[in-house]
Amino acid sequence: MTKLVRVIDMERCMGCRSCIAACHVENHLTPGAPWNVMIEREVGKYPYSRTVFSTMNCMHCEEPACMKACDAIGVKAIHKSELGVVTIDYDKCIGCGYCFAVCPYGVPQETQAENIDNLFPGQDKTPYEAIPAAERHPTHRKKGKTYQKCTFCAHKIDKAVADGKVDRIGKDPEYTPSCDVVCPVSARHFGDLDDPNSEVVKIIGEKKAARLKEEFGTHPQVYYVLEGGDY
Amino acid sequence: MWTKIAAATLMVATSVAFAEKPVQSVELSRVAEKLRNHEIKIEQGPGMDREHGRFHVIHSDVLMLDCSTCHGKPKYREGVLNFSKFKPFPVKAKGQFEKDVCLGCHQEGGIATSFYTPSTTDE
Ligand code: SF4
Ligand code: SF4
Repeated sequence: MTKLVRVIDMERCMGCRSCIAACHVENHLTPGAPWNVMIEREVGKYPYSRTVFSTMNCMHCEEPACMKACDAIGVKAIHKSELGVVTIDYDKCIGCGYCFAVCPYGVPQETQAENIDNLFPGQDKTPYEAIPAAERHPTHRKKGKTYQKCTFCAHKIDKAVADGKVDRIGKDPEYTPSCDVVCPVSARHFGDLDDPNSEVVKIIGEKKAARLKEEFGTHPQVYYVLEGGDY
Repeated sequence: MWTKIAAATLMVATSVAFAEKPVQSVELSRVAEKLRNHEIKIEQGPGMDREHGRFHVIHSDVLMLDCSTCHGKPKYREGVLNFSKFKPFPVKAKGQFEKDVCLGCHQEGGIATSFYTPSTTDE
């Protein structure tokens, strides 16, 4: 089996936000509905203070509370794939917001209808916006008044599956989430938790990476090398 | 319709919302069970909107939970990695909600629909 996980090393992250920019471009993000955000805070006291940076995205939980809530109301718009990727089907989503309400990390974001047609009102569409819906991956066919969130770059993962290259996920840029590819200080890693030789397994073990808000029992598939205390 | 139900459950639920004795949460669980069995019917469809969505109707009007049960301080705790802390704070909201509160009822084995497994569950 392959279990895809991400490791974010807060000891290395310098807050440059390259991952956030990459996500914006790669996933056709619309204003007000980011898939990846930077959370920073100051620790210590002046003059011995410093800033701790961390990016937040969907944890692709093994027990996704969002999916349970969506299933409970019979909508079943949220799916978890065999590789562990949690995605929302915009065609099924009714925009109730329950996934957001139950997600311990507050991840799903509502797509504002007015924001999906034109990023720069009054101007021509950007080349990304001009891509016809039919040519986009389903996760990039945003619909107003539905919820969206990080998909672990599902379009790339799906491509790896289609190309028979699942073993290259986390290694080849074309099969690896863009945020993890662009980090200039190797603070982000992506790979297979079930492969004992993978980089993610080594980092989780060596640096004692932890999962956030374990008390919810959602078993996130994103690990953090924590810096600056308890989250 | 739900206002009648709310009135009917008022006696039970008010005491339950500010529960001190264990017996009172048994009553809360009965109301929750009735909700799940559709003995208590809610007209509103799924949604977070205070007036038109089921979420607040169930928690506030039927179960009679006080706003402050879930909504606490106007800000998230310092250093909590929570995506939504970067959203503009809703003007009408009674204060940011603490997700930990949900665990009380929505963890497996709790009185409400389960969304969270016990954190000690083996994977
Ligand atoms: S982090 Fe939130 S949105 Fe993502 S899978 Fe877990 S419960 Fe669902
Ligand atoms: S907003 Fe959409 S995806 Fe989220 S719980 Fe409601 S129907 Fe499901």
